[in-house]
Amino acid sequence: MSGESDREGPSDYVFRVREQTRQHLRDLLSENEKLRRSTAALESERNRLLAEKMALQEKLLNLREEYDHFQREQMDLHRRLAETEEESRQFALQSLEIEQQNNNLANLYVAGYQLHGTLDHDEVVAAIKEIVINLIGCEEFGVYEMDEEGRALRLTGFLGIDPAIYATVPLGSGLIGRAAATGARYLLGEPPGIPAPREAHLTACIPLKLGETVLGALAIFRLLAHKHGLEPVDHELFDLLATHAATALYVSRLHRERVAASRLS
Amino acid sequence: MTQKKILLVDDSTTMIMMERVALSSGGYQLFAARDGEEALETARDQRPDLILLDVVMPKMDGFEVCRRLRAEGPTRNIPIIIVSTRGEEGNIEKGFDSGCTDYVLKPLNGVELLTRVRSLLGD
Repeated sequence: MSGESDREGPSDYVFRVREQTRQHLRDLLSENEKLRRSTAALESERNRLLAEKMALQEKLLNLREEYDHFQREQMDLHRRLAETEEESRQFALQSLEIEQQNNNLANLYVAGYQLHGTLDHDEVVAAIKEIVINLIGCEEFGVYEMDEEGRALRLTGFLGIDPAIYATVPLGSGLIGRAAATGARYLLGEPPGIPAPREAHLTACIPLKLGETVLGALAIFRLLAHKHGLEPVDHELFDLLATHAATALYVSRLHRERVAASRLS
Repeated sequence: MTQKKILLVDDSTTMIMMERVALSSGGYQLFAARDGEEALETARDQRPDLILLDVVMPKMDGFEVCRRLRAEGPTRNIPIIIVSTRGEEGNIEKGFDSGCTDYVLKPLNGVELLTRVRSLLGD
């Protein structure tokens, strides 16, 4: 070998070196080609990833929009639910109020029916008493009627008061007499006149009137212990009693006189 | 479905009428008794599903009626609501001691009464 190389001439050497150089160049070119392909593949992968990233970003954006939309929708649903609940609560309250009004009307109907269900004077007074006890809630009261001369009120029905003390009230005297004289209702807490000592516990005095003519009065003293004051329905009952009790008492008195007259004749 | 029966016991016709009106929307069959003795008799005959019982009545008061109803087999378990003007603690206690199921005060609130009746009858 060494003999051969020793024998290698300059041209052989140049040829060999050139060949080696060519081979090296080919290798370099091949490597370059590999690198170029690899770069292209990487570039393509990069582009693909970029595209994928953009697609994902777009998707994320869409999801965000969708999320915002659903959040708005959820808030809207919450708001509508709250509105519906409030509406339902209002309906329930209204329904209860209507039921209560129906009940009050029914009570007024019962009171009217009871007052006009008889011509007997004592039964009319008994009906007034039942209304005051059961509908107003009072067990201390007096039912007064005007005497023949129109000068005093006479007690014709009572509960829970001493009839000896409350038997007669001169017209214009004390809160009861004044209510009967003026025809104006007295209610506790409203600017009063001077109460007579026996009127210390008077809660209300309702003149019983036919038109402007006072035929009697209803004196309401202490309400039942568990009743803490007059309610709107009580005032409606007072309105009803003011006219209907007066009418019923008047008619029953006329009836009594007619019966007495027919007995005499 | 059979109509449920309610016995109304009160010596006041106004009260009976108010209770009738208050319970009218409940679709119940209503009976009335004007005193304690009549109440016991009607309860035995009609076997009501519920009794509304006044306290102050002629012949026998509501507490006594309640005690007797509780002492008799057929009426022992009938729910009884005492309806009274007496709102003092002692009276309410007396009512429950006599065996009542519930205690309602006058003046009567029809809406409240119907609610309590429905609740006791499981309507």
